[in-house]
Amino acid sequence: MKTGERARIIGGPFLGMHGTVVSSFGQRTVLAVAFETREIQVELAHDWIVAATPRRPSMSYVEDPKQNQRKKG
Amino acid sequence: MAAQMPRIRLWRFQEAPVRLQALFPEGKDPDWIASVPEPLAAVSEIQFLRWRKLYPVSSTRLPDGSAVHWGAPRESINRIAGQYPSPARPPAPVKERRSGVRVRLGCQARYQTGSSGKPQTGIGRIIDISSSGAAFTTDSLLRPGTRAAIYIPWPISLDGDIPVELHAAGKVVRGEETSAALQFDRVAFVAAS
Repeated sequence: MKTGERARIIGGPFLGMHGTVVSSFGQRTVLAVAFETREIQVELAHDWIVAATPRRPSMSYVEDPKQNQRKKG
Repeated sequence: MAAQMPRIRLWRFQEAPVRLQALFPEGKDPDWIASVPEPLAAVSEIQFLRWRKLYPVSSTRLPDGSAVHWGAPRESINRIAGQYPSPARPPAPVKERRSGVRVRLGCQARYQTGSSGKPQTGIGRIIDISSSGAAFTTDSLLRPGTRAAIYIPWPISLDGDIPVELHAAGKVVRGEETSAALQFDRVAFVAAS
């Protein structure tokens, strides 16, 4: 995902939250996430985020995560 | 040069720095570890501890004031096991793929299968579930080998009565006209908004 794009977190303790991509490096992405009254930065694995979509889970969740990683690679 | 904004770092257990893994000897994938710098430790604590009703979360403070949290969502089935009957083991000739605690949850769940081009969705009922898979009723045949996801309203809510769903995805390992079994390779809880 590119800097500035909206993303939804699908893994780990922040899952379900949304953020904006700040930067990426290696297999990691940094998101700016609104948290209570402030914005914080959260760094996590690429495959713990997907492009932000409406509330229903996207098909990307159904697809094989290993295949997704190969696509990204 | 501008100072870097304090940043919370999240990892799958096996991808976390070894020094952080060592703080939680019971940890393994698919657990998670979070490292929180001192300025964010207090304000963000609730975000980690809110999962405690669903699965174990443990926290520790390091000498520099930062906090490290560990969560084990794989234990969520055990949390509810006492509230539901365990299914009978299958007779000897039937191969049982799942190990660990199995729970006869009996609730309704949504499922989705197919690739991005041809999604198939339906409503079923969970026959039983373990940390590695679930058997559920289906509206139609789900072919073994296909990818599928299932969305299960969880019987425990987060603090503040916020409902959560278990989202699990994997491969269909058994498919019949009105039931299927899914072996999980991804499991996550999502707070309903």
